[in-house]
Amino acid sequence: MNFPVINPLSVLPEIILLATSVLALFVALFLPERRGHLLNYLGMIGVLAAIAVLPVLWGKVEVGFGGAIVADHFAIAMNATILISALVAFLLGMREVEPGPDYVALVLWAAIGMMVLTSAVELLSIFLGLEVLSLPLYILAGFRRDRSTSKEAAMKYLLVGAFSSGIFLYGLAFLYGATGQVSLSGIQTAILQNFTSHPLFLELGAAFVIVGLAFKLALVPFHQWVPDVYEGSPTPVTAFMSVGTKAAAFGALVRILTVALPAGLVHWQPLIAFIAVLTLLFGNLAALRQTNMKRMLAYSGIAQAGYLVVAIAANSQMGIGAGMFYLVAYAFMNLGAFAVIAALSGKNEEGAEIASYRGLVYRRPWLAVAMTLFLLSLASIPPLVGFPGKFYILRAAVSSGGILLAVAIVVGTMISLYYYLRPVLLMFTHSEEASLFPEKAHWTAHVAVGAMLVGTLVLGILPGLLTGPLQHAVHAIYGL
Amino acid sequence: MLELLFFLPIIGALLLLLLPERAARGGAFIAALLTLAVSLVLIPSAFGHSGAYGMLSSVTWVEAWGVHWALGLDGLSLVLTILTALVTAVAIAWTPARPRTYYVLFLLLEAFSLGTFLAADLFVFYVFWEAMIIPAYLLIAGFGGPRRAKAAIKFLIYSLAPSLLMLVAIVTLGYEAFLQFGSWSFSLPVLQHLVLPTSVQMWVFAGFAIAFLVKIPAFPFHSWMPEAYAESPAPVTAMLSAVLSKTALYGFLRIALPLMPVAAHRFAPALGVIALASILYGALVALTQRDGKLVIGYSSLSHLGLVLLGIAALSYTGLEGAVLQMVNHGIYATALFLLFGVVEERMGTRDLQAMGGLEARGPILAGLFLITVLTALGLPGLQGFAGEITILTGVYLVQPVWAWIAVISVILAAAYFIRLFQKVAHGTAPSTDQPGGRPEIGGMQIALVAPLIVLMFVLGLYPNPVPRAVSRPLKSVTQSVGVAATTRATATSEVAGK
Repeated sequence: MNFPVINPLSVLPEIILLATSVLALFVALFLPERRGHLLNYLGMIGVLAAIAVLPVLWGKVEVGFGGAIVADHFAIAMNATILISALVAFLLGMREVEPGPDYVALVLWAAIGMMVLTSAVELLSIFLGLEVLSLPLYILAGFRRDRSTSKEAAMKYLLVGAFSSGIFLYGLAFLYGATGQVSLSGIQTAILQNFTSHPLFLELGAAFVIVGLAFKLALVPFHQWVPDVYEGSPTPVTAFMSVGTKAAAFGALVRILTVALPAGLVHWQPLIAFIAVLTLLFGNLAALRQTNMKRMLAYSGIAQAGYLVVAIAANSQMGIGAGMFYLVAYAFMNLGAFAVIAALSGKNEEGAEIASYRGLVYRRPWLAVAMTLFLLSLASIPPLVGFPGKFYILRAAVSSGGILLAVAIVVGTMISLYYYLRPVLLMFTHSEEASLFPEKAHWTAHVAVGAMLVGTLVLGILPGLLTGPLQHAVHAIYGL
Repeated sequence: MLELLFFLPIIGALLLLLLPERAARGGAFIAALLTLAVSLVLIPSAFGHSGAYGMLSSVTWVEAWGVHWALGLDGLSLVLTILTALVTAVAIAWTPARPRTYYVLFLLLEAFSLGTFLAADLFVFYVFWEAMIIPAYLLIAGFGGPRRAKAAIKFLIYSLAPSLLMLVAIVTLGYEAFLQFGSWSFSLPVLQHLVLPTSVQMWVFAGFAIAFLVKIPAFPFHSWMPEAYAESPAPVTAMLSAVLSKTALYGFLRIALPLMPVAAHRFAPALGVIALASILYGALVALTQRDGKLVIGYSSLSHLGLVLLGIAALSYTGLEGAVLQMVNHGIYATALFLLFGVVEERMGTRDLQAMGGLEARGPILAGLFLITVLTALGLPGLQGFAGEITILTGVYLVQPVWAWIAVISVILAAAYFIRLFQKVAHGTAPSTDQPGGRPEIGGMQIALVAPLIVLMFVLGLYPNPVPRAVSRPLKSVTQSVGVAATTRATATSEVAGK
């Protein structure tokens, strides 16, 4: 029997995270329970170590597991985003979730799954990544066992998630059945050389794969679980889920659609464009009516995923570049907004109502100003990172002839102004109420807010820092 | 040097954060004066070069997107730059002792407005156009009247939402540059050479025009204006009316007309109708307003409608008059809002029915207010007249009917401005009059408003410097729009002779 070459370098960051999680579980045996939060620092160190090896791998294309995993520029760029969101999950988790070995290990495992998903170039490894990321997240969503909303969130997430995994797997099976290939490039070759005996299965497979990932990306109409799960999960987990899962699912979708299924031959583009427009309009409209900050950000996250998918619908190098840029932008501003919520509300989540932000600038000026900037950035106002992100996507949409997609983005953004700016207005309105957020946040939460703010500002003013490296990532996808 | 002009207020704003609270006003005033000084020093360089701009500095900003950090100075941007610097310097020092944040935001507002006038790249233009809205919003929301929260959010949404259409228009232009020249570009001198199909021109022009019309504001896009003007502190209202509205009119001259000439011709009748509607609507509402500040606000709507009419005429004289009137309006609107702010403070009300007796109690304030009102209503010899008559001449040569309709507004202007002055100055003092306060204007404020008053006379008697400064940029605009510059009437110089 032939064993494939494993090449540990191709999964070096994943190995580091795995080793950290094992170490955390082991150390926990000797640690008194009230010192559990120290393990959080261990998690941070592990994530930072994994981030540190990314530059080393950048530029070398490491292929592992007999070609099932590739650590190319694209994978590394996406993994950086995922690792940043994992780092924020640890920075915020200090006080809120009573972190112990289980929290640390689950976050790390979910991150491993996400990273595998973006590096996977064979159908089986893709599915493996999806499952490895999903299972820990089901548990994390229900991590606050004392709260019924958290339990409800976990249950909903599990049921919907299992369902979507099934559909996704079905789609993969169709793709395999139609082409007889498991590797993405093999499928592409088969399609190009017209080896497909069943074009219908190919189209069905593409549709099922899109639907399966649409659940993870929270695209309309597969989004219903999102608001409840985002609201019910502990804030650090919500932050991690909202960015990490999106990055992973976006990576997989880009790889499958652009590498395996040439748009000229498999007609996924209209479906993706339709879902994108539906998602960004619905997400923005639904966000208008929210009174809870986390629910509002959940719907805004749906809308933001819509912008991301517009980038895929453009089906061009520029589109993929724009999508990746937007994902990084979204990571900074969205993680930042969740970090402020976590820093404000402490353990009991009492501060998630938008109304409680009234007059915040007079009580917690630093957090209020940071929140203002994150929200303005989400509304894509220059010179914050959301603006170049939106600009890039518009540019991709216009140059692929999708002027209607561009108009849809603009209409969605106009609607979003209202709900992003309403909390800003409240924060600057004077209120006589007694201070609502008495608890002091852990210093690591402030570090998270500060770091995300630096990213939001620096990349907003100098987007060129990111466009160059992302160009390499796009070339990796297109095999240039 | 151009960067200095833009960065001076920003550096000033950052330094203010280090100064003690009570030194904030002085520090901000010094920063604003330095900016004004630099803008004056730059006068010769605006005309130095033979290219499109007298002075152009351009650095690659985002290479992959073809975006350049480009600032350019020519006669047109020069006059508006000086106007901005002057108005900011006067307005920033006008009210005593505000919190430091107020001055920081004010300087940022100045910097971003200057950036809009100096931008030689559409990406840069858009960034400043949007960025400018944020400090303005915070100034209204943080320092306005009792209903400031609603006014501020309305201003914000009205300003931001249409701008997004402009963003699509800008991206489209960049893409057209890619199609025609092989690389993305947003640089105005480059885009000048685009040859656009009419359908593209129409869409792109519409995207820009809607954003500009809301910002001016023009009827029927003005519904944010009454609340924002009424609730803002007087110096902020002055900035909104004198500077921010000009960025939109400037956008027509700098971007919409020269880049989309065919669409400009197609849209000119629509713009003309919108302008006439603004002129008449603004004048009629001003005539019936009880709130004195809104009389001035609606008079601005009417007067800026006249500027828009001059632009819509698409003749050299019309454009010339439009720029002249932009400068004039900037100066007298600032003085009107600031002086009325003092009156309001002294009398404790803005309700014209309750006001009165200023002439007896504060003759100097009343006198300054009278001069400003007379300027605004277009009395010959004062500044407002020269601009109005040039615009009307320019419009008459092209569209006589428009000119006849617009003349009605001049008559109405006399009516509402004289009514405003009578209500404020004559009659008896209101019961709400602040008993302890001095009825008269302060010495500092006289010194601040004096340069504006002097300019009203100087530019009224000798308006030539403005048309002369903008002649080359406007000629290139008319060239692209395809109107021969031969119809240039010498109205301005004739007026000056009288």
